[in-house]
Amino acid sequence: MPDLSIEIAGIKLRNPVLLASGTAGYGEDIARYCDLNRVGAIITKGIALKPTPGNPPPRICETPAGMLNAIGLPNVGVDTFIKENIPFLKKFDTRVIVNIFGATVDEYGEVAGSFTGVEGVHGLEVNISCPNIKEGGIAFGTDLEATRRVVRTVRRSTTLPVIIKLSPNVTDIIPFAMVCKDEGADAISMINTLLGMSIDTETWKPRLANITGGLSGPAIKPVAVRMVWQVYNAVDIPIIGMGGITTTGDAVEFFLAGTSAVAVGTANFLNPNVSIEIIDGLGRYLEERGIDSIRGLIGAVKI
Amino acid sequence: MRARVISNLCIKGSYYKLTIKPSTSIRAIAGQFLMIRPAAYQAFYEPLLPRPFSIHRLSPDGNLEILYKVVGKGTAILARCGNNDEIDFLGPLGNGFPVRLTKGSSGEILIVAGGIGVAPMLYLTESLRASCPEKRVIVFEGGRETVDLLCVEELKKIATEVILATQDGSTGIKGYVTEALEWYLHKRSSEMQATVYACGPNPMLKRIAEIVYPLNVDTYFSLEATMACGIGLCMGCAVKRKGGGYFLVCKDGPVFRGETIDFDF
Ligand SMILES: Cc1cc2nc3c(=O)[nH]c(=O)nc-3n(C[C@H](O)[C@H](O)[C@H](O)COP(=O)(O)OP(=O)(O)OC[C@H]3O[C@@H](n4cnc5c(N)ncnc54)[C@H](O)[C@@H]3O)c2cc1C
Ligand SMILES: Cc1cc2nc3c(=O)[nH]c(=O)nc-3n(C[C@H](O)[C@H](O)[C@H](O)COP(=O)(O)O)c2cc1C
Ligand code: FES
Repeated sequence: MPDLSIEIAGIKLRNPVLLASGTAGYGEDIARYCDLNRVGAIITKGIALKPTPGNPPPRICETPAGMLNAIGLPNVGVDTFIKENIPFLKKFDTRVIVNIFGATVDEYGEVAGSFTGVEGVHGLEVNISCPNIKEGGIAFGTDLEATRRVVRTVRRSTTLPVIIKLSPNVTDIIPFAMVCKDEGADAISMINTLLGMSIDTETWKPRLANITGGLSGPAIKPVAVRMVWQVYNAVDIPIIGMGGITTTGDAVEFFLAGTSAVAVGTANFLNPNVSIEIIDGLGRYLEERGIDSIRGLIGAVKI
Repeated sequence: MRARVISNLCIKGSYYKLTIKPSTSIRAIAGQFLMIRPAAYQAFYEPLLPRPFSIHRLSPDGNLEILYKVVGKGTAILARCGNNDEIDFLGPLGNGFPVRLTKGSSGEILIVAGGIGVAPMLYLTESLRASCPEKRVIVFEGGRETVDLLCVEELKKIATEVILATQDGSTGIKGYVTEALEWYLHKRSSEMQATVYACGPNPMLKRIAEIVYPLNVDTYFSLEATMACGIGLCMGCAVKRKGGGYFLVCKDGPVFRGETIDFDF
């Protein structure tokens, strides 16, 4: 059996296939369909200091080979999450990476700090790239100085591994990855959704109440692969890759471009067990080619 | 889960009935739904997402029936599925309609179906007939024109009365099904109890909520929302909750007590 294990940001993963934030909730609902003991890690739906209700409907619409969402980060708040959701996740033999966001730089620091000493949390993924909330989110992820301040603050607020989730909605993503490295982030994850819009030609209205939303799914995969490859070649920081991964082949593409792990997002909506199928598929892919470790694929694209 | 298509027939107009045999047997209550994706189209990502459909009926031999209307890409592809094609589905999902009502209450049962909203209502009528045999069950069914009225003969066999409405007046009362309901409720004493079960477009449900507001009536509405996952992962299927916040239709519903929903979305 080829070795699928990998260590990223100091977190030892059984295999490099993760569940992407916002597509597996806090674990409860997907656990009925997907054996969480088998995934590399679950990245939970974004958590902030205080509960937030999310955006009005319609929140989602389908687009060619993808979907737009403007969910607006509904969340139960950090206290409830630690009290009620972490205990459930602790029952599984997997890694838990908590995705966090805030409206201000200080709030990012405060949320990050809340997880100090919380058993069952193995790392933090910091969302500086959500396109659907007015404050915070993308405003940080598309401004180099704001990115620097958030990463610095979070880094000072926690001893947990820190993964920064980058926005693809920038002309050049490399400087953002560099800032993350400079400020002591342990890894980056990329990409979050691409800002998009869709209009109903009968009603002439936007198909999302929020007007714009984040594009995800197979449609964005080439953009994600390109960005991963650019960062892999320019910045020495481990990458968790995501964006449209739906099959084993998609995951392989990300490894070849330079990711150390991948996360499955929108594809969970088509088949909540797809991450397990990809894990098995990766094992077979390596075996068939006589490659003994997943590390043999990382950045191995032949140019 | 996997299922095999037993038959997939056009009933009339753009309405179809799909019968599938699941690989393992399924138990479900009226108002629960499935997320469906025909296997042959999965590699093309067109459409990408599965589609929600109510369980129309469970047949005694373990088959599942779906009654659907072709409105776009997903339903057009479903209509093209042939016998023995494979279908992936999740379900039964959601809460379904409550059918155990308090015994001996004087209330009658009013079932309101708008358009393809009739899909779960035949099974519901059967279930209510079985669980509350002493109660009167009145079905109100409405559509744009006669072709939009489905299951009428089956409903007539089991309901106490079936009241039809079409917008063009070609069958039954001319107007919306909600007008038929309103007319019926006005004939009786406003103190009389009733339980209303409704499935149809959200504006229809909103109108029913307004009509019954001053009356002694319980309401159970099956709501529609655009869904990506159907199982609580995406949080895309939100509807506004009275008093603030949201429900997820797939997980908290699709059946809700009418008074808990804020229809001004
Ligand atoms: C819980 C639940 C149960 C359902 N049960 C049934 C059922 O038993 N039978 C059935 O036929 N349908 C049912 N629906 C609706 C069904 O899911 C949609 O009609 C279907 O998803 C449309 O897919 P499509 O790809 O064909 O249309 P799309 O290509 O997605 O849309 C085509 C056009 O149809 C419109 N449209 C999309 N969805 C709806 C809708 N729900 N109502 C009216 N217009 C719509 C769109 O705005 C667009 O203009 C149910 C929905 C829910 C949430
Ligand atoms: C419905 C939905 C909700 C999401 N919620 C979050 C979130 O809360 N936090 C976050 O960092 N990313 C969120 N994302 C982004 C995904 O984690 C992922 O980065 C993106 O969707 C690209 O991957 P995919 O194409 O495989 O879905 C969300 C995506 C979707 C589709
Ligand atoms: S459809 Fe995804 S949460 Fe309801």
